[in-house]
Amino acid sequence: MGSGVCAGDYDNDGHADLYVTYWGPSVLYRNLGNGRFADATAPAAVAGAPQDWSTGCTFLDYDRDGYLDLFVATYQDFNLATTPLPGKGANCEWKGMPVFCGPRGLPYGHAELYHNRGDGSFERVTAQSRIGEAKGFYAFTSIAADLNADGWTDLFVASDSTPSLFFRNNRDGTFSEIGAETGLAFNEHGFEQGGMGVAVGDFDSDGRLDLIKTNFAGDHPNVYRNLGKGVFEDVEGSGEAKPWSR
Amino acid sequence: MGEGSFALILLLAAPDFASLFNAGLERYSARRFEEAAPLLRQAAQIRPQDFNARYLLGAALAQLGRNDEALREWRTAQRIQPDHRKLLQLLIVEYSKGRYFQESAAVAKQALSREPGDADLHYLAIKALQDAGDYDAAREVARRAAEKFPESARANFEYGFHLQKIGDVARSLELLRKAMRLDPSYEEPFFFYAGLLVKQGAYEEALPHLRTALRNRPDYVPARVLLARALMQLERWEEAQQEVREAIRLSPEHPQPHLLLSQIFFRLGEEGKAREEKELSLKLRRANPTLLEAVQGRPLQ
Repeated sequence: MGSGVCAGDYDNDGHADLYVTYWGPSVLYRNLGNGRFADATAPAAVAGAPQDWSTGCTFLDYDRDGYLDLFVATYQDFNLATTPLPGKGANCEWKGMPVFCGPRGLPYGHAELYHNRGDGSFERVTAQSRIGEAKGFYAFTSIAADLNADGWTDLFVASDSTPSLFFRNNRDGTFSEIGAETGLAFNEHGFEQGGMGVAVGDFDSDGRLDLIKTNFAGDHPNVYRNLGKGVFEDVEGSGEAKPWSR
Repeated sequence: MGEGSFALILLLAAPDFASLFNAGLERYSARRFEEAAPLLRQAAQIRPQDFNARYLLGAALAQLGRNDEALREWRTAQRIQPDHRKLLQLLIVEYSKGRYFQESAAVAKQALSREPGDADLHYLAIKALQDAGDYDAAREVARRAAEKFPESARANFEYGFHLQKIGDVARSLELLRKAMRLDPSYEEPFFFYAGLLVKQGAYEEALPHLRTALRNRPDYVPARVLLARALMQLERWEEAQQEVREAIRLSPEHPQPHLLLSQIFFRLGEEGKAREEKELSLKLRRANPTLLEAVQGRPLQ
């Protein structure tokens, strides 16, 4: 079951490669440059664990060594055998209809960072990069961008029913998760939302990268205006964000 | 004495409906719900079609927090008297409490169709429809309420609130202003009006409205947090911290003030303190999830 995809030239051969996330092992497809792809997952060692329900992924060069590294977020550690059937447990109904259970009540997901060694293989650096310290989220889309304008690529993850995550690149191979401190974890009222998709761009042309996050049905998107130094304010519903208001 | 005579004595000694009901009513009135419930249940068993017995038994069970049992009794009562206004109101609220949002909305629609001139029912229906995720229907009921009860601050507020949610900010501001004028002691319009001002970057202008909301209700945490947010934007850090600390004093279990304090510390470059407050906020959030429930951004207090 494919859940996400990201593109990046991880082997610097001038051809964009693909990483496709799944419930179960994910797959790295190396672009052969002739319209064909080869499964390069095993030599790259980026499949993830069998129970991972991987969702958002993004290539980034977090240590500026010239090779694209890989960030992968997971929605849940998903086990079909222990997950209630639709309509058969708590959080298994939506608007009176039986639906896929969760995410609340199911095991949280996690995030992984793989460092590109430059030889076609990756090293899992989740612990040493401190990416693994973030807990308690159901991740969907992730995006890589220099959100605090310090010249180093940061990460943002839209999370479902849990705080969204902002991993600030500490410029030493580590990251700090500072979503709540910087106004990106919740909406303007401090509520968790059903974060789904995310896009980055400078919508107010002030030279800083802003974020827009879409949410589950019935909720408004967030338009996070970058106030500088990686601090954000949700301006959805204001005059500035009017084009996105429903 | 023969077996038949013994049964007759037992029958004569058994309490009748009236004495059971009256005893149950007496205990209910004295707020002795644990004692009232079994008496009323016996009364209802004797006369299963007695509305008052079912109604009061449901009320006693609701007071005891036995939501599902209360709903069962009230549903039976509703079959006996389908148009009982108070019962319909109670069903709307109790269904919602039990998170049976669709049922709550269905009863609300039914009640409104029977009592179209009842303002309170409109407000209950708006909330029930919001909870059920039917925002269009909620907005339509709010529109009708504002039309029918033009001098009601609540009706004007509700419609203004719903217009804000679909991006009609100009009309929303107008209705919220009217609500503030009609009832200066009603805190919600002041809070939401200020919220719109903050979104538009009119931080200074928002401050007096938030202070009015807080004069009316000092423990209104979302208003105090919004006031602190506006002060943060104005870089009035000390005042912002004061407001957050007051919110923490008034509502120590609420996660939101700690989150904002974390953001203040972060903006001031004190990342260690920011992290501590964030962790505390997340811990409180997990311990009190209902404190942060909202209907389209409208905090439930």
